[in-house]
Amino acid sequence: MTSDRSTPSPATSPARRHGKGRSAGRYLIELLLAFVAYGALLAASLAWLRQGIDEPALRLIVTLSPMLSAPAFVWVILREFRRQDELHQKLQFEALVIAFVGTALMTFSYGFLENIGYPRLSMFSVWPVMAALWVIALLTRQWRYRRREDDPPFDDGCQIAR
Amino acid sequence: MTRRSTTAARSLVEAPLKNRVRELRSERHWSQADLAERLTVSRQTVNAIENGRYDPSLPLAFLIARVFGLRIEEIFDDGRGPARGGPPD
Repeated sequence: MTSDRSTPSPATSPARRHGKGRSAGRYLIELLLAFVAYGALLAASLAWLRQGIDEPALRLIVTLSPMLSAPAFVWVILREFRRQDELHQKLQFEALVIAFVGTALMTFSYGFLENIGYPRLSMFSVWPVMAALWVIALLTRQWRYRRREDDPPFDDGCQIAR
Repeated sequence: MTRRSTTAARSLVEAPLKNRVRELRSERHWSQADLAERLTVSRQTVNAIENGRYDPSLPLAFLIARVFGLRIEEIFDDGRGPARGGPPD
């Protein structure tokens, strides 16, 4: 295969068109907006519940209303994932697998311990465990692909391309 | 496929590819960031490919070949000779 004119032009590819800086900036803005929506819904929900709601169905809806912002988080995070290159998608996938399996092991283990009298923990504690494992796994996996001491040095001082 | 040929095929797939990406990039006086921009990947990805810690996907390997104006086999080498099909040795 030789060079041909069908080479995708970096100038027209999604990553190039948007640029790393703009892409990261937009991701942070979108994530911030999702958090603002979540915070607003949570504050409204708690305030309403504090006033007291007698109707059980309404109380259920108001209690769960902060989760209306969940699809926004999914959309924002998936968009950012799809913008990453294949190595970083692989890193994310491996980190998520480790976090998924690790969380299963830890939550099941603790569930058994609860059977013998360990204090019952809130379901809210599950996701922080998964997030912590994800961060640790991601850093560990990234370290594997980092430059080694015996590698030739980077020959540029330029910013990351995307 | 026999167990022996299955094992051989697996080792063929798992063996890291050697590549000439760093050499070809240096010949063109491109930085890793320059090549990363042409490939629309991150500089870390170019570095990982050059150091043999990451084997690119087939589409990325084609793109690398196009960027350098070469055949894929002229850049990547699995150390098993020309790929002409048929079962592994």
